[in-house]
Amino acid sequence: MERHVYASEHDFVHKLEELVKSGVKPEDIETRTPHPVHHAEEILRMKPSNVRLFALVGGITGVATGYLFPSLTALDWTLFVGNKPLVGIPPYTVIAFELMVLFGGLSGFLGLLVTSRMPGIRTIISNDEFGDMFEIYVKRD
Amino acid sequence: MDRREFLGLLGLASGASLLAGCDLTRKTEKLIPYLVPPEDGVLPGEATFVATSCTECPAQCGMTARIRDGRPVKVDGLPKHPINDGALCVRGQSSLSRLYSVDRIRQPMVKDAGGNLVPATWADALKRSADALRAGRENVLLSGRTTGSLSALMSDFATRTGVRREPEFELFSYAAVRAANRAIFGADVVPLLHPDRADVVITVGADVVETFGNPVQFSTLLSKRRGSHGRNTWFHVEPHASMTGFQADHRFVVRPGSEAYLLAYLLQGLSGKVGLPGGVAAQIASVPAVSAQQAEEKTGLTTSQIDELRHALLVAESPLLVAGSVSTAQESGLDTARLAALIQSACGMHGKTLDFAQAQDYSRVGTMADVERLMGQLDAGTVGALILFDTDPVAQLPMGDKFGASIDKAAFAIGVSDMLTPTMERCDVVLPLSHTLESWGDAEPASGVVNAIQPAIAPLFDTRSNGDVLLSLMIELGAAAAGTTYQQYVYDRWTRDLGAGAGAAMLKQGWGTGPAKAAGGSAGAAGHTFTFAQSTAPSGQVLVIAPSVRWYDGRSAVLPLLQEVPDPLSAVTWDSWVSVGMETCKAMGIEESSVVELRGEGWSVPLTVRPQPGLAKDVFVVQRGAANPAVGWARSGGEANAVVAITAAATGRKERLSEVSGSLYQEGRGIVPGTHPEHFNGDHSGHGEPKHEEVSFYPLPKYPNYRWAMAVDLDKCIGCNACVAACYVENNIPMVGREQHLRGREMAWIRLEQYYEKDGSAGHFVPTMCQHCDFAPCEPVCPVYATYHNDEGLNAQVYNRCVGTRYCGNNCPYKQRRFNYFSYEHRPYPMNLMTNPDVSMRGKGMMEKCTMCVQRIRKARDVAKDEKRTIREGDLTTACAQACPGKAIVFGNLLDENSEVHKWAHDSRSNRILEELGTSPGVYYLSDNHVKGNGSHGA
Amino acid sequence: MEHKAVATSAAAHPAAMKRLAIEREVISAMQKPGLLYWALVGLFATGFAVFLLGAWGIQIAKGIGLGGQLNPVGWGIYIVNFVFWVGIAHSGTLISAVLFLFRSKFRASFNRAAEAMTVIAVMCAGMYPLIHLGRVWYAFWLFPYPNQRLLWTNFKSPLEWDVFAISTYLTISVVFFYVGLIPDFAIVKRYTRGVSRHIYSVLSLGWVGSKRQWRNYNMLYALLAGLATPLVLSVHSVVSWDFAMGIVPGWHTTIFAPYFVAGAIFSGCAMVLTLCIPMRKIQRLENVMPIEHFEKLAKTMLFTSMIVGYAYTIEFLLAYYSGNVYEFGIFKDRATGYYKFQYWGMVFCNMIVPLPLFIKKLRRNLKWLFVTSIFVNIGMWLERFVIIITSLAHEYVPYAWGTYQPRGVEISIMIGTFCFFFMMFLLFAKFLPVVAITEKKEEVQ
Repeated sequence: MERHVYASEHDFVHKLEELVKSGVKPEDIETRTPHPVHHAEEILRMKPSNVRLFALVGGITGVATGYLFPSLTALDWTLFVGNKPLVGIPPYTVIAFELMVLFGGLSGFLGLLVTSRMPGIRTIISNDEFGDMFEIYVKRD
Repeated sequence: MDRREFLGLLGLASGASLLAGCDLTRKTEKLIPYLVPPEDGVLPGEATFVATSCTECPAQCGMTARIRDGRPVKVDGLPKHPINDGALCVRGQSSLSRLYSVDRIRQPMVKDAGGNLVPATWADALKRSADALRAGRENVLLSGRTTGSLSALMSDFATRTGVRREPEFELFSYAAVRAANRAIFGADVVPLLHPDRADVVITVGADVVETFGNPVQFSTLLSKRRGSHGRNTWFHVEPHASMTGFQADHRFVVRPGSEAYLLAYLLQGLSGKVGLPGGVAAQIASVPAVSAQQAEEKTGLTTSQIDELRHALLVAESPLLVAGSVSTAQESGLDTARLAALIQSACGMHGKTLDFAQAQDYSRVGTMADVERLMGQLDAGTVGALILFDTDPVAQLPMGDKFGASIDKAAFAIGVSDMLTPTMERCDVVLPLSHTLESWGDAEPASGVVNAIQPAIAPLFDTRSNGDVLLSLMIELGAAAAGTTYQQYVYDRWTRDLGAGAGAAMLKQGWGTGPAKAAGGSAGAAGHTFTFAQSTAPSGQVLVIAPSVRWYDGRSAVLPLLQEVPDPLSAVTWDSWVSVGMETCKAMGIEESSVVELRGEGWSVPLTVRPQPGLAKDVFVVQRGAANPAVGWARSGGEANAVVAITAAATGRKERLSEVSGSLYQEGRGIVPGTHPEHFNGDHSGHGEPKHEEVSFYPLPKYPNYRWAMAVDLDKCIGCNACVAACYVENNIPMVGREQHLRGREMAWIRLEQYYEKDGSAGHFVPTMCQHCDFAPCEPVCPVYATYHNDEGLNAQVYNRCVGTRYCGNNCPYKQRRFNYFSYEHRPYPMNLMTNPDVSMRGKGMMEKCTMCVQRIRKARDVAKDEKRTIREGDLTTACAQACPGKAIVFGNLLDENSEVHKWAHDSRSNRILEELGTSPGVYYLSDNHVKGNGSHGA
Repeated sequence: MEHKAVATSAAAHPAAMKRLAIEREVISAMQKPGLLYWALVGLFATGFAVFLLGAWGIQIAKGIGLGGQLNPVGWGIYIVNFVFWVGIAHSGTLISAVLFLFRSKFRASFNRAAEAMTVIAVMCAGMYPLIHLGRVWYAFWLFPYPNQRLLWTNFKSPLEWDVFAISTYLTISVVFFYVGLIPDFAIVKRYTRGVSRHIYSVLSLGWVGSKRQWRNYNMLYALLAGLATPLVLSVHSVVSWDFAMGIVPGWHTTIFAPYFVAGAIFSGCAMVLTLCIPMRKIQRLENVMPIEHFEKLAKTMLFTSMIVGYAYTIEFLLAYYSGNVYEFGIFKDRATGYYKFQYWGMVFCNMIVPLPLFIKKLRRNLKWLFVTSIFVNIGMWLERFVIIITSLAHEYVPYAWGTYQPRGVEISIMIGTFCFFFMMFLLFAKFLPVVAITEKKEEVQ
């Protein structure tokens, strides 16, 4: 395991490019940066995050719940109010929208925890710190 | 294991452990299965009815009390009663709260050494009274008006104990009217009026739908000539503004004290009439001539108004003219009364529209002259014991304070009353009266009609009925056999007068008919010198002291319910006020809440101003019970003055009045059905056929069996507020008091909205309640389904589900929802006994509103179900509809095409309030014919 | 793990120096608070306890009638405050989420403070529907939970929409706020010792800034920003529908949703200014909060002021042109009736006072901006008062007109929420990094 530490983002990116060109597999390169470096992600050919799938599933669940739950409860015990239809799409759309956002947001957060393996008990306990430098770790055999 | 099974096992287990833990030999009581009803007839959940008589005012309508769990919880007019025909006025409806008033005297009271009234026993109080009566000087009995057995017993009492019975005291003594009737018709009575037989009704001052005569009877009979068929024309002449005036088709405002000129002028127009009785013709001849110009000048009416009146009287086939109240309670009052009587005689109203055979007997009632004579004797110190029997002259007399001082001059004063009135506070002994609903007795609302009075509840306190008080005194004095009861006395009298076995029939039916008194004929008695032309009518600023529809002569002002229910004209609730016309307000630079000082000869009262549209300039109106200035009395007629000259001065102070109306005008809105302004933007086609489908996405709801609905005929509505009081009692509506009224939180489920034309030319009175809309805006906004629409068209409110967001209240365009801002459900004893057990009490933080008396619907459904049928027309009605003296409200199933409500809803006059909002209300209003006839009035 | 250092560039690199400066400036704002700070926090906490909790307790015991609500005006200043605080909350999210989506640079100066403001303001707002309930002890009935009778809530009610909108909004705001804080917690952790270090350590969830963490983090942050933006619009639309769905004249109009949203941004910008201008001064954040960014905020405020002004005018004209006697009656009454001072106060504060911001010099004058923002805060409170109270006071039936005036308990609770708000904001300013450190660092080249 070798470690490179840079103060500037430019140097860090430059080194990354160098490493990848030199044939190091991107999976073997681990980085620590004080802020996200989008260029680095491209260099390392990272796949889009799965967080969005979590959010998508959550959102769809939310919409479905938002329509089904009010409709089913309204049909379960029929109470007429203002002689409006029991199942009203416009009013339930509001519920569906809010639940989409709620479920989508929460499952997205869950997605972050799952996909990033957070909370990382080890890092919490250890003194492994989120530093101010651009660091590269290369796993070499 | 399901839930039920689990609960069952749980019960078994805990029950078994409980049994094991108990010593079964101790604390066991004999349980009686409820197969045989207990002897007192109390069936839980079942109401029984007791026929009795209302005694809140001297009209004494037949009344029925509904008894639940041994307590009367509602009173109503006795159905098919010959006088009031099932209706009861606002005072009668509220009289139940007198029974349960927290202010009732709960035991006899005697004055201690320090001059304070302290509780005592009956034995002590009676002994003191008897000792005083035996003391030697002349004893005097002064009572309020009595009829029937009580009057007879009082005579017995007087003769047997040697007490002198004074003429009875009533502030509204009809002295001038009776004097005129005595002279012209030879009958010392107040005849009952029959507007149903009249094609033209002219009332001069007489507030015939408020206090004059029997207002309930007048209203029920009038309603037969209102509505869709056979309408008559009603002119009302008055110096001030009264509710009666605004109900008439034509309200003519005359200068105070000028009524005699108008009547004299009208009488002249009749002098050519053929077939006048001889004596009357001679009397007519003795009336000073009044020219048309004079009549106009004096009354302030226009030529066309006077001509209209004169013409109407001339062409009428069967007219009814009556003068009274404020128009006869003044110096020229006797002339006014006599002129009215002459017109009555000349037009042959006697026996047709004026019923002398069924008349109110006021023959024992004295005049103010009698009161003054009594005061003289008291002041001279010749009176020993003075018995003040159920009367309150100190509070009601214009010289009340003087009378109070005179009471002190009597050697001993014995008061008999249900409340500690100012008169009672002057007495040495106060004997507490039971309420009518706790008593035996009878009453004669009109000659020949006797109402039974029978107890609906045992006395709540250590009190006795009025007859028993008299008998107790007699027994104490040795003038009657020990053990005699008033119940027996009344029974014996019924048997004697009405025939054997009449007692049982009386108690069942509630009334009996006896021999009517002689009807009196035309007399043409001694001549009379008319002095109206010489006497000077009050000029400048004038105070009119008007009878109150709520408080009568002031006696009912002690009832909180009659403070909570607003005055129909001014919407004032808990305060005293003076009504001032708009012109006067402008001239004096005063407005709502200004305090003005009213000054007369030797008196002055500060009162808060309530602007009153339709009131003439410089006329100030105070209601009896709100203030009682020392205005003296009219020597000619013998009635307390009601019209006096005053000077009014603005004080610059302001005091908020507790009133419940947001605006006296419609402000350009077509709230009153049939009065949509021309430019009004909205659907006001004015017929009952809903055109909902044209404007809405949603179809009208389909109700399977019933669609409960109401219809209100504004032509029949007289704006009396009886419906409001009835609703308060039926539905346990909390009385929240002045403070909450000032904060705009009155709780009435039905209210009478009053709207005046800006020029004061007309007043509209619209009873409004929850409209039970098909498309109720209040329903969908509730987040917890606390209000919803049931399949019978009712807008239901589930109190216990309500969390109190108040959105429904905001979203009700009719503003009919009422919120419990505080905890009102706990009433002080004995007011808590008034609670109707059929209606749940609402707690703090809940919304409530009109339910269309759903408890009655439920009861009717139970009965119908037992009889294996559906609810039929006539099975039930709402409290408001039941009370209405004008029979202006009907309730029923709109789906039943034969129902009254269906007919009314499809009448050509049918309207719904704010129909253009698309709410499709379930309450239909039949617009006032009078308003329609005069085209659109948009203020 | 054992590391073999292969190359290390000089720590004294200018970019590293800049990043360190940012870090230090923000962290130094979090240094041990002084006595004055604690005195202030204590003061506000006491105010919160006495004015809000105390008064509310009395109100629950005695009844909601302690307030000034009456029969026509069922909603008093509790609901005014509710809408006011929701409005305040909105700009926080907007500054943070919308400006993130637009990759706006000046966002980084304010977004943390704005998000904190959002979370606290939603808490304040969320209290009010409860405070205003007649039977708050049954407030849980507003949530659809399977009760013993399986009676659910009425999802057609705008108030039920509110329940969902506000609780969603609070949740998503908290998540958004927290997610943004995760890397900063990890930084703060470095500067603390003892218990605090453990707390921040746990809060950072073990953040180290690895490539996968950043990758997922960025995705989530963008998603949340994407979700929060329409959420803000929907929440304030839902709040506006509380009124617009009603049949009350003055409420029942279609322009309410955009009108309310514009109003929310307007009032929110004002509140951000009110909070950030003193904070910048006291916590010496002049470098991370440059004046240009304030100017941009001022421009936003001016723009939304004109939208609101337009709404006031068009509303009036629509009512006039409709010829509807009820609708125009309300507006006539607003301008000339019992509440005319509130109405013209609203017009003055919201339409007139922001106009001088057309002058660049004034936009860059923080004192001027601060005073303007105070006026706008007041004006926007008055706007809600005018909309809610005057409409109810003068509805269809003249008989049922009434006038509402707030009473002691309502004023007290209102003061109490302000105490709560400032107490929470003070706590935020000392215990959390008030500026997004990692984002600021990202600007460093």
